[in-house]
Amino acid sequence: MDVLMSRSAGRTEIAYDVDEGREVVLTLMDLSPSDLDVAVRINLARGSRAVVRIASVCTGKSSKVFDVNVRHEGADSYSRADMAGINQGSGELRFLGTSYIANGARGSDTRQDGRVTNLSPDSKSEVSPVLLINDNDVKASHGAALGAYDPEAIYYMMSRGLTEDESKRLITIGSLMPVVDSFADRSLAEEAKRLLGGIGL
Amino acid sequence: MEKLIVSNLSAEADGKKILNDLNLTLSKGDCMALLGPNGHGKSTLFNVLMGSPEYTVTSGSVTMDGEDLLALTADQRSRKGMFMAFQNPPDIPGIVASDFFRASVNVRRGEPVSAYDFYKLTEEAYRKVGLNSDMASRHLNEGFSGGEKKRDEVLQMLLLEPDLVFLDEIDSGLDVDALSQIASIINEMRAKGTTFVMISHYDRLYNIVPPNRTAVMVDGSIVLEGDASLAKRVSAEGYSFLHSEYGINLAKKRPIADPKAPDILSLGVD
Repeated sequence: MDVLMSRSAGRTEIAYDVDEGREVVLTLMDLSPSDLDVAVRINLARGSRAVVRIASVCTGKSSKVFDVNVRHEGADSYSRADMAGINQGSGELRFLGTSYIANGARGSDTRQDGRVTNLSPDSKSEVSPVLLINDNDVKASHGAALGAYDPEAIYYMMSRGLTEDESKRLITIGSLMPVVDSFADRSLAEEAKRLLGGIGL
Repeated sequence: MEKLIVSNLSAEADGKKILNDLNLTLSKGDCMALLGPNGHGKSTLFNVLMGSPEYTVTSGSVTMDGEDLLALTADQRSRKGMFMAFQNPPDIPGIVASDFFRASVNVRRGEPVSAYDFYKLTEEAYRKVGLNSDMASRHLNEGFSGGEKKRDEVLQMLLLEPDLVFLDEIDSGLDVDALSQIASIINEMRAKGTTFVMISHYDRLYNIVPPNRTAVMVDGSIVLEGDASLAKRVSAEGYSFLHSEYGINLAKKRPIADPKAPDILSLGVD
């Protein structure tokens, strides 16, 4: 499922029960200029799979929370949750993720990744992955990164002739593009690119 | 570039002085071997000349054809025709190499390069440096081996056609075949008038890219200049003759190595 949120506000809940051997792929891009609380709930049966990709640009004083909760109920289930964000203003951007592996979900495999680039000293961001594991023989890992631009990367790009602003713009787009590119619906991908251009990215 | 003049240049990082009243003049077509013991400021000199924000120039001047170079940002210096091949190019995830190359080619042209011309340009450059052009679709430097990073730096040098090039240990991590490929690219560009300054600890580079000048850096200054024979002598004998013949003290007056490295004394190590 592809979701492009450009004018959303308030709470949104997306829930799936994934049957044995089935797969859900959720790609969600958020460019809304407002407060947002998005909850994703996924229950995985034996041998089922979930791939969740989220990208969000937080502007102004917005407060946004993305909470991805994946429950591995069945054995040999698989999940990936990848969240990328840009916090441009003085708002708050929070990526929360919980992977729960139930007793009996042996052989399951889960990974969560979250990263936020803060563009302003007033940006407040949080990346907080949680793994709850109740069985043996599982793979579970997470990665979290939070920060401003890497000054070495900016200097490298500038040394090849790109201005500081252009270098930052490329790095910013670079962190969101993998999500845009994974939209199955190409017209939605084009719309996302157009909207990104509209907010100066 | 006809002339680059560095006068009485001092620079520091994190409050530690690294360049110390340094003087150097480069003329168009020079190929200089820049030598000196580890930690005496060679890479810092390159980075200060290229405009790294990590360093603060505390005194002195640098002019390129009469223009104040220190007033320019790194990107402006690049567009003036300067290029530095990084000793350790950073990984930049998320940025596709070909997008970055195209942007850096376009900033120095009035009109953006056409898709076809850019394709021809990059295919040719990839072939010359001995890399597969499939790498253009990968993220910048991400997952590249040491040798691939060095070839990728040379690739960008080919695409950007600079007048003045600083090569910071371009030969490290390259096998013999790769080194000779890179050397022939440097020699081709020299024949067209490009100016080079090369830092290397191995004379195998200087044997196939023969310098016309050698400069030795100690304690943040250029302490000795000579022709190619000086580079050969250092390679054969090391730096001890600087003291015995020229009275140059090789000990640093102050610690000027990597300012980010921990202070050994503060760690309680004798």
